[in-house]
Amino acid sequence: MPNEVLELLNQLIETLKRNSVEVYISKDAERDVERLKSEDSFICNALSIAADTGIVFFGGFESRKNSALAEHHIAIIRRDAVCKNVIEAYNLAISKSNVIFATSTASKTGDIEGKLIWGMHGPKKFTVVLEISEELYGGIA
Amino acid sequence: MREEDIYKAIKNRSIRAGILRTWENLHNAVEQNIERYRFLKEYAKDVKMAKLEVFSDYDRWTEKAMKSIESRNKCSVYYAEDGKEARKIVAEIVGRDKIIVKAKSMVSEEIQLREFLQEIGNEVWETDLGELIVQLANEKPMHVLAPAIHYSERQAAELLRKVGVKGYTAAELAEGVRKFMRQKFLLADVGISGCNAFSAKTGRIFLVENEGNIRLSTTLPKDYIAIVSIDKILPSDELCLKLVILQAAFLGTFPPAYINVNEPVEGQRMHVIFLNNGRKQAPEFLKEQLTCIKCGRCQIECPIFQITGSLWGNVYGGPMGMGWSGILGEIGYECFLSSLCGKCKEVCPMEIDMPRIIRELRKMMVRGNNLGEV
Repeated sequence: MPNEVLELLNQLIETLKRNSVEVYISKDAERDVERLKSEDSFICNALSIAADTGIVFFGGFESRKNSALAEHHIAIIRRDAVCKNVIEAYNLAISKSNVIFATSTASKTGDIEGKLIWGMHGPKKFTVVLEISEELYGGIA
Repeated sequence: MREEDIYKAIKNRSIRAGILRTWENLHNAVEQNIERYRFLKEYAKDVKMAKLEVFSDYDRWTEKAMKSIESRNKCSVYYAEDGKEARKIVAEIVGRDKIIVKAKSMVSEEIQLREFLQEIGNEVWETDLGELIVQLANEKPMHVLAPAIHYSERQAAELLRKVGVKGYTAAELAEGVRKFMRQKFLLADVGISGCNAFSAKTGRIFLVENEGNIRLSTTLPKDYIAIVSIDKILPSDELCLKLVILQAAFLGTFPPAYINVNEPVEGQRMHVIFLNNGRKQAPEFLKEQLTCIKCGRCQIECPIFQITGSLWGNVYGGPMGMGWSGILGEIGYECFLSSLCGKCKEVCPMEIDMPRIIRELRKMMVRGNNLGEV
């Protein structure tokens, strides 16, 4: 079982990095997130995340508003929120909150000459703090 | 479409350069997505099957979709047979002297909503960067999802100066628009969006994007209007999610930065307008076009579109635009511009046989029939 879990977590981390997401692995997310936060950041707990695509689901209308307005969106993700795929992640999210929304990276555009620019209208940076147990911590690649 | 527009397009090198640049950026990205995310083909089959099921009984599914959201608090639901009725409903909701922030929406292009709302005395802003550039140029989008691909950095800078945005590079211009538009988002009375997929089961509206303008347009204003063309109705949330994933993957920008799942909430009045505009009356040979998810891949890959852009067509340009023009009753001799090479069908995630549709449209033009007589 821990091997399967580690495989899933390592897949997730690889996916997040490919999506240009800043990733921190933590044994205590609440503590570690204090070091990342600033007056321009918004921190919220994720309802679920899909390991294959890195799509993160959040809940609540106020969170949707605040996360869209922030310069830096920080997501705390716990082990039990990690799902294999996006359908599984959606179903888990909707079982926890009526109002959901998803994010997979920072706001971006390629509308002028196809040049990739981060932070078009939403957050310029998206960070994931992935909280895992002591037991799994050592197995992260 | 006017004949002179085609000659204008052929002579305009920036259209060709912009589309080929976009092709270079996105073609391999789509191929990689298909290779990496093996579930995409299965999703496409599921979505196509579901769309065909909905089309087989549009009346029943539209009623079901309307009921799913009618029962919710803080939500008004309307049905519009055509663009004129939809504009009238929007005018009654909005009134005049309002600031309106609009998410990019092809259905609003279809009913010329921005122009109408401006005419009746409102300040209306396209909030997507490319769409804002097109608005300031007073032109139509060049691609269904990448509207300003034909403008150079220098041309974009000149157009954005009209609203006080300064800068020369794409990064400087994007930062300027971010600041300019943030004020509009915060002051806006009304937000308007289209809909990528509507769940008839739960009444949820799915919208996919990268910039964050849809999220801000549909979250900050006290009034939010969603225009849902009935071809966007799907039986469940799961199918809606599959559709938005397909749209982003086949455009080439996957995963999308944002998936919005909008529904009535405390603190906001939501207005949902279901729009037919020719879809129910579409002749049999055009029904397959209604499974189109508007990813725009057929446009980018089409050798004719690569020369003409959306000037080949009406609201919707390129191969997909022929079928959509037929549905909207706007088809003309532009259907004879296609080379019928079949690339559009080959790259379409829904495997829509656009060459067949174009051949049928040509037959009708030759016979001198209009679509209503089929």
